[in-house]
Amino acid sequence: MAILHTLNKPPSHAALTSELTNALLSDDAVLLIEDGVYHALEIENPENSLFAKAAKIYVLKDDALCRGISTPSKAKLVTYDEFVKLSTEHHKVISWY
Amino acid sequence: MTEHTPKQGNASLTKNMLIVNQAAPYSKSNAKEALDLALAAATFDQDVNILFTGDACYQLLNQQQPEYADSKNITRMLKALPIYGVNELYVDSESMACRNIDELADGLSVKQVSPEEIKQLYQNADAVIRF
Repeated sequence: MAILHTLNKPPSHAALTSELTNALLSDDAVLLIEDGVYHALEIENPENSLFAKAAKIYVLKDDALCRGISTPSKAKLVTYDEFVKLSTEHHKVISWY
Repeated sequence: MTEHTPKQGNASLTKNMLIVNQAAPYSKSNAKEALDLALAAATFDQDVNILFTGDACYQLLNQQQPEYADSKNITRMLKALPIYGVNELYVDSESMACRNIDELADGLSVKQVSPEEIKQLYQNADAVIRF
């Protein structure tokens, strides 16, 4: 059953990003929130394994717009309400911080 | 006994100050606090230069809309710095490259610097404060 992972730290937190990448299963979704939205700048990077593994990638709208991050085609912008809906649709939510 | 003669004029009261930013904006208050210090120091006639390195490069991104987080716009405040007498803004070109940042906010005059140039910045300053 699919897990929703939230990530709120930028790519410079390499150890955290690695741990999350290693924990991902093929069905899982990643939601980028707060400073985690900065990962969106690196989604298109072919070496980036975090996004290669995740089935779905979501970006929290308010946090992305605040920071000037535009959503890449591989990801979907979601509102707070949609965030809530995503949480109910997944088996559980794991917060990576 | 040697006499210590104090220097005349304001020259001895002016320090070359380097403010080094390394934090991303909004989640922490580092960016705002660094800016407050820069403005205060410039107001008191210090020679202020600011370096953006590491995650602080994110402070310089274009199209930030901080109204979404009830915050003040960092870039708008940075653009106003020359008016207050802050000297140069520098950004670490390697930090930008590894974060995939090609362009910075419009109207912001920032010089890209290499690691060697950054060493010089640290050497030349009388005071260095990191945020």
